[in-house]
Amino acid sequence: MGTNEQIASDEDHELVSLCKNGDIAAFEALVKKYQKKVFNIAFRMIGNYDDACEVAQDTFVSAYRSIKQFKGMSKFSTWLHTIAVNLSKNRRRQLGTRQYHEQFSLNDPLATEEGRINVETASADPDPPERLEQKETQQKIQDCINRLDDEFREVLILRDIQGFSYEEISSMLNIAEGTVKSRLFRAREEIKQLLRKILGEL
Amino acid sequence: MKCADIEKRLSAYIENDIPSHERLIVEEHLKSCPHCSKSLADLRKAIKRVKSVEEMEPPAWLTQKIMAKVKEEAAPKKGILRWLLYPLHIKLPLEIAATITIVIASVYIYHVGKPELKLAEAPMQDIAGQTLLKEKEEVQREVADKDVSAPSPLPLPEKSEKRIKAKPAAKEPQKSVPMKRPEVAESKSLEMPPSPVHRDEKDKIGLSRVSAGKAALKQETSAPEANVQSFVAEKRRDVTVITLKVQNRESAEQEIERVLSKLQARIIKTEYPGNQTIISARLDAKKIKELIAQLKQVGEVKEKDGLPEAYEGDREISIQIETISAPVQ
Repeated sequence: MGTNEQIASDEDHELVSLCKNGDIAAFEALVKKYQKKVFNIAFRMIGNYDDACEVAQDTFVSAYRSIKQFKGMSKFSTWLHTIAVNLSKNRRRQLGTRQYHEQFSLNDPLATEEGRINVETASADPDPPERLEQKETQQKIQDCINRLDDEFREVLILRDIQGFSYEEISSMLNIAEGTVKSRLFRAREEIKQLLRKILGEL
Repeated sequence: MKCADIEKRLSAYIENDIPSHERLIVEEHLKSCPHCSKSLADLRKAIKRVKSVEEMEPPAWLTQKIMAKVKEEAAPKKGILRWLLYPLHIKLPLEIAATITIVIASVYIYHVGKPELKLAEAPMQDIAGQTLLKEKEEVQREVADKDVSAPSPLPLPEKSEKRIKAKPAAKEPQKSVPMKRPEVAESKSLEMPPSPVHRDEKDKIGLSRVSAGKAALKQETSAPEANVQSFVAEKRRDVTVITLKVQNRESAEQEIERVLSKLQARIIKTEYPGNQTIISARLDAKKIKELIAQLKQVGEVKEKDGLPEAYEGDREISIQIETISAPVQ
């Protein structure tokens, strides 16, 4: 794919141009558009709500700082998500020796996700006990994801949760597409084992 | 193809990312192999589980917080730009403030230092010398009045009473002490300009000096140097000193008194220190030139201070009359 083609196909091209000219409102539009995705990438990769919030902020601030250097070789969204992935990896490395599954004690995620649950239950609250069970399952899945090796976790998140193409993942992680595929296969095999172990069934 | 090989391709098979001939082989194998079929089913379930994780909702304040940081990021750049483009907006007030401070400080220092500067320039030796000589003269006059037949002007009975703990034996050396004082006074007054304390004392001291020679004697024992200094300072500040050299002092005195009364000057006092006569008077500053012209007819005039051009109103003048010949005493 040529550069011109890339720019033409980038839906954010106009907003990005405005940002380069110092239009803060245009940047805010991009923040609103991508903050959820950025936040979720960070959250799945780090596994901690508060750290994900900080990484999301850092991602956008970092993007704002270097937006003039963004040449449009890839889509803006891919470029932005690459920043998010890298900052998440860094954050996870910083947190280092800490056991991630320990952070997912019942208190922590419940407290952090409370706001979200409240918003949803305000509109519709069909089955609270089922909802709670679902929430527990979600937590266990996240726990399994957290236990994967870094290289497997990131491809699994980007492919199966975020739905990026092999090409995009290859670009984000700066690895060959073939490597993405082989890592994805290994990641899926491992998560299968982990899920079976933790959930008791698939 | 063995089961292990098939299982390796299942991930790609699900993704539909497999060459068509391999796809056929996998499909054929799956039909006949329940183990691999289960593996495929499990894989599909696992992926489904992973995909089932819900998207998290970021906190509502996230946008605001990001934008606050972004604006913070943008703000200092604007500041730097403003600095580069309009440096005077910030610098100018500082420069003005600095200039004003320096000017005020300079003026203040100049005003505070003025008396000292003048004093340093003044011909101190003569005045200081005269002052002490005058004191000595007064003592001697007193002695002469009281006891004409005394073999020596010193000691003086009255004086020794006033002098604290003065012993008769010490009286002879004392005679020489006042003679040395002019030098001491001179050097002191050059080194140390009169302090405010001296100024405060000045009026008191000056008064006592005028009223009685006895008082002056008392002062002499306590702080003669200070007295001389303040006296000199007083003369320097307010008095125009004119030195007049004449053949005959007494006739000159009379002539000057006549001139002064003609110019409507008020004679304050007439003093006789040493071989001099000092006539102090207040005179309209505008008439000083005329006075000097008149004085030139009496004797040789020397103006020590120059003429105070800027002066308005009355001005104290001190005419010091000296005989040209050797002192009579």
